[in-house]
Amino acid sequence: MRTSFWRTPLQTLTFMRKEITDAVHQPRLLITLVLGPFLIMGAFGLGYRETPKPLDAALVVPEASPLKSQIDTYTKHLGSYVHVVSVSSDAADASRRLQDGDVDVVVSFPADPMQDVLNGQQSQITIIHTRLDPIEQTAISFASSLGVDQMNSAVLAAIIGEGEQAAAPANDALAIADGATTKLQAAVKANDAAAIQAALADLDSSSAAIAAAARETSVLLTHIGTDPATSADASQLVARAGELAATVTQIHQQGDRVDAGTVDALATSVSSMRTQFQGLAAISPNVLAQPFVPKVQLAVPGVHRITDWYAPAAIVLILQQFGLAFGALTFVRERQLGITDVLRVAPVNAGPALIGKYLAYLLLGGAVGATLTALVVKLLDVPIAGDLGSVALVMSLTLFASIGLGFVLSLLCRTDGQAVQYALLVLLASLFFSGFFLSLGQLRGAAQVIGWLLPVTYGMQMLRDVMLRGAAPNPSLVLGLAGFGVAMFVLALLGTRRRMSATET
Amino acid sequence: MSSWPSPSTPSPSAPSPSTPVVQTAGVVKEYANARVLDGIDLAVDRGHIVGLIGPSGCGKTTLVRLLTGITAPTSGEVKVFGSDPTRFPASTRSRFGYMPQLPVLFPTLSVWGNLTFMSSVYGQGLRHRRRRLGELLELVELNGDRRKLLAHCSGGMQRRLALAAVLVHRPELLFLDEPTAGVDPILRARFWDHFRGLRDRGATLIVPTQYVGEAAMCDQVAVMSAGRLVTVLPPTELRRFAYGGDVVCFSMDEVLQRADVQRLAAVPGVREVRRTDVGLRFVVDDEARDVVAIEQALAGLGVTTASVEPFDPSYEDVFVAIIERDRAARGADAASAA
Repeated sequence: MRTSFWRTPLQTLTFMRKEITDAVHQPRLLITLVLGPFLIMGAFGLGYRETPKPLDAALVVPEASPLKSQIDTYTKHLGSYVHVVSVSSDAADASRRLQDGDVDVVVSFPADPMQDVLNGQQSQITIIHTRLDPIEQTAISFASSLGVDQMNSAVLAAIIGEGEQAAAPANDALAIADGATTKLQAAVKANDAAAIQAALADLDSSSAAIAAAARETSVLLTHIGTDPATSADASQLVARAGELAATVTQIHQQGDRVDAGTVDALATSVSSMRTQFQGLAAISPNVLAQPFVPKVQLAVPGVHRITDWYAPAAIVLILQQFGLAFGALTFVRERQLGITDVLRVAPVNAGPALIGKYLAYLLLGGAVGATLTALVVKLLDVPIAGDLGSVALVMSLTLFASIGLGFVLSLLCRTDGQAVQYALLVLLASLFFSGFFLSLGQLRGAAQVIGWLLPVTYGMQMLRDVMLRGAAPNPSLVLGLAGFGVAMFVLALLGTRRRMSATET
Repeated sequence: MSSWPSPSTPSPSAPSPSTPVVQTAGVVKEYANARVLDGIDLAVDRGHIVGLIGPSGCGKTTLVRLLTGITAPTSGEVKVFGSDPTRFPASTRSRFGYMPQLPVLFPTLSVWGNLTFMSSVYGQGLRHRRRRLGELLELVELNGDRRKLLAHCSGGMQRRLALAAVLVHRPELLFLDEPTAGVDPILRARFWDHFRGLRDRGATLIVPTQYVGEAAMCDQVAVMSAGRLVTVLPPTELRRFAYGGDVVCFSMDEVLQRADVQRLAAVPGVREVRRTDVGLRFVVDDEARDVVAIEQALAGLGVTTASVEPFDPSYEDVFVAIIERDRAARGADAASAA
């Protein structure tokens, strides 16, 4: 019969039309779905600090502490992390100010750090705070470590400076050795035995001083853990000092017939050692104390701000909640209205009803996603580095899977209140397990499994890749999300068929 | 008056006219060990209007839900169009319509949107839809409100729309659960005219109703009480069933002695005699035959009869009498069982 042939597509379209009309008659809901997330992202982008707010710190330095006179030097290194509000020796007052919320941290310096060091112990700088937020706790701990590292580096630089000063006598000895070598060359040339002996005497004393200075410098540099190149230079210096002493001994053994070539080689060796020593002494103590500095570069072109990172995630999250809420509420509402009974006795099967609703929510959700994306791109300057087809694919798959999840949830609910509660639980799980705030890598195995049970986890990774990296969606994630969506569709179809066809007992 | 949309032609697979469209045998329905229906035996022939009447909670709606296949009996057999309604294929489901007790359409759709939805659900083509839906809206007097959202319609309007929606596919069998609740008397009368028009075109209607007066509009009235079917009768026979025979009222100027009343009760054909404000009320086997005998008996007692009139109680009174009789009988049964 002709009517029968058209019945299924007609029913599918009518369910689709009904759901769209239903939503269009709630314009406030649609506007909220689009404008709400956009305004939240905009406010977040405007309000976010690119650099963290320095911690207001009260420094407690005992009167007798030798650090008191140098506290300004130390705190200037902490400028980006800490804002020093006060410096005093009154620990109780600082603690009270901390409890009152006047300061973020109290930093207590040791009374006698030198004694601790002489006892073979590290001297402790205590940082006290009242923050309960684990992220803030981590930030304070991180900032404290960095600050103390800065202080340690300053101390180390001072020690290295002292070490370089210790290298100064070697320079004097090398200057003497250089002069004596020049005299020796002249005496050998003139075959002046007395002059040769006088020059060799100078070389004897200076080569011993050079060997001693080279050993001290090497030991110093080795202990302060300087860079490998400088350490190698120091070792080479010690070797050369030994060679210098051996050459001087060899010349002594030549007696009256001193070889001019040996003397020339001696002169070259002394000259290069002199240059090497000057180089070591000229290196900045700060560079020696901190020979490495990080230089972090992003291999993704473009300037990326915090809103760029969160915008794709927020879009996908909104789409998930859209599909979830509409999917979860539709059957529950029909049941509460009693329409399910009317549909049960009507010649309509689960397939057209379900597919019609899917199509409606895909269209509505797609429109919401497209509008939201256009707004964040145009008004918040969030980039779309990839192609729009990939963006559409990710959004469609996310919606497909989320609507299915919503339908499955609706089969478990008896009231719309329950459906809303389930949707909120999924939202909460999404914030923790999807990679929205914390990357999935920070979660252990079981928690990661929860993440992969949420459509947003797949959609978020893919949309970030497409929009920010310009990459195509990861095929594994595409297949994963599509598989998730198909599984939800099958479950929803079976459940809806049971609800619409089965007879109450 | 607009032309009433006629039901579709019975399908070739439909049972013969002699086979009841609806038939139940010993149907019992229990919910959580509470027996809601208790041994219902009902047969409804094609082309009849059957009213289901009974107090609230007597099982009328449950019976309709069983007949539509929404729920299954705990025991017993239900046949609709000769088949178990819980196993209806789509083709059979399009042969009947069900209007639940409460208006159940989509509040966020317009009056027209709801009708087109139901029309599509029943797979009606687009070509003649507009004209047909217009006719239905004319019938339920909602033509001027077709753009109005259902949520903005009054309860009565929603009821009328629900009725239009159930008629959209020209069903052969209609289950209309209190179709006139919240509808004004004038429109209610019009609805019943149309129900009868449908019946005359071969449709079968099963109409649970709280308006006992509507029993007169039905071809058969099934009276239910406490989950049991008390009786199924044409409305004209309900009165006789309620009082155990024909009821005749005699008006007289004088008050009879008790002994005289007892003598009258012994007249052949008289089942019961009761005093009234103006005389006596007799329950007799046959009004035409027994009135003469009573008049003769009264004359023998020297009593002059001012008037003799058949007793014409309202359907509400008849209904109350039937229910009270049923409750009394069940009470007596329970006592004897104890």
